[in-house]
Order: sequence, then structure tokens, then C-alpha cells
Amino acid sequence: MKLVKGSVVFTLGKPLYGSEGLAAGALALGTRAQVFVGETKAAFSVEIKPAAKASPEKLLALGGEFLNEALNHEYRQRVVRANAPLTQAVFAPLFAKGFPAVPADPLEELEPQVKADRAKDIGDLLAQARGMS
Amino acid sequence: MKAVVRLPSVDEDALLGAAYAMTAAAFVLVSRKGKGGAVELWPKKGAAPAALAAAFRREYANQVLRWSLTRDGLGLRAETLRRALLLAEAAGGRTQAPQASLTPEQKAEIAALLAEADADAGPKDPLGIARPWEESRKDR
Repeated sequence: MKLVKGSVVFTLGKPLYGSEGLAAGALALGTRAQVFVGETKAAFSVEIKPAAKASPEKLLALGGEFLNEALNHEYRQRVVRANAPLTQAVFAPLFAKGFPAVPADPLEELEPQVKADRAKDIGDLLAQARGMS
Repeated sequence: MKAVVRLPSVDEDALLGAAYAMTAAAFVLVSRKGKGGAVELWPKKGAAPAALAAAFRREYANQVLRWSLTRDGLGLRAETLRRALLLAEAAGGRTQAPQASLTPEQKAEIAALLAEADADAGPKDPLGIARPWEESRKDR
């Protein structure tokens, strides 16, 4: 963290820090400061400008609060992702029970091409969704 | 005054975990460079930067072990959980078979023990230690 003209500035590297972590940090500061974010391919640059004039100690505390909140968010997300197999073990049976197989669609029964087209569409959507994770 | 800890090769989960553990005592910024990583720690109040750096290194070693154990046993725990839920489902969500009830002889024995405990006046108190303070003052 560096103090520059009444603001505190720092750089957060990707992918350790993501935009959601930055949002969490900004949310923690509320109305006490304005947060400006710049972005390059490799990092975010952040400037925090307090709502009222602040001492150097107060500026560092504002920046630090932002940093800790962003870190808190990133680490929690990581723990959630790491425990995904446990979450799946709990939820998969519930979803399987809650969404039983639907009866055959008469339209698909009459026209096999409809079934083939739908299967392709679903496959494309699933591939797209998997690519987002 | 800040402390900077650089590690030549890091486990990223452990790095973040250790950094997170330090947030009570310091403001923390984490960064990566190649296989390595670095942490900058600004003490919140009172803590010496060198002490923070040492605490971070200890916490990092701890987190490396914790994450390693977590990853090793994760599949096994997930499978155990899945099977436990299947068993619960097969049991209809009911609790296990009720405990066998007590025999008349056991009930009589318990009643006798309770009666004996009720009849016992408790230990003697010749020095009046168990008496409330107000009562002990009345005697004077």
C-alpha cells in the first residue's frame, strides 16, 4: 500500500484476486471511501479515496480493511470449491429425487429429428456451461 | 513499517489460508510470481513486523499440512457421506431401532439407588462452611 495525495493505492495480481473480491472489499468500506479500480490483463490497480480527510494511519487502515475483506472473500471461495465433492454428495441425491425423469414427449416420439436437435442443443449448452467454470 | 515474506515455491491454497489467518493481527496483501509467492503484512496495532513474519511462516507450514490432508481424504469423505445418506434414505429417514427397555429388576435396582441417595443427608459440616454468610453473621 502506498499513500498518494490523500489516497491509498495498491496493485492486486490476478488470478489470486478477482473482481468479486474487489467488490467485497469496496462493500466493506461503505460510504467511508470511494474506490477506483483499473484493470490490466495481469492485475487490478486500486485507489481508495476517503470521504473525509484522513491521517496516514487512517488511510492505511482503510486500505487494509479493503485488502483483508478481499482476501477473506477469495479464500472462502477457494474453500467452497475445494469442498465441492462433499456438497455434491449431499445435493446430488436431493436433486435426483426432486427432479424425476420426465415422461417421453409425444412430439419427439412422432418426429425423431426433434429429439436429435434437442439433444444437440442441450449438449452445446452443457459444453458452454462447463467452459464457464 | 511492514513485513514482507517471500516463499520460493508455494502451495497457493496454503498461502491464502495462512494469509487469511493473519488478518486478525495485520492487513495482508498476497501476490504470486511464477512458482513463488509473497505476502506483505502491515501490523494493525503493536505487533512487531519480524514477529508477524515469523507467525506467518509458522501458519504457512500448518496450512500446507492441513490442505494436504484435506485433499488426500476428500474423495474418501465424499464417498462415506454419500453412502451414509443412502443408508439413511433406505431406513426411511427414521432413527435406528429403539434401545431395549429396562427389565423390572433393573428398574427396581435404580429406584432403590435413588431412594438411598435421597435418604443420605450429605456430608457433615462441623465448621459451618456450607452455611450462607448472612446466617453465620447472625450468630455474632
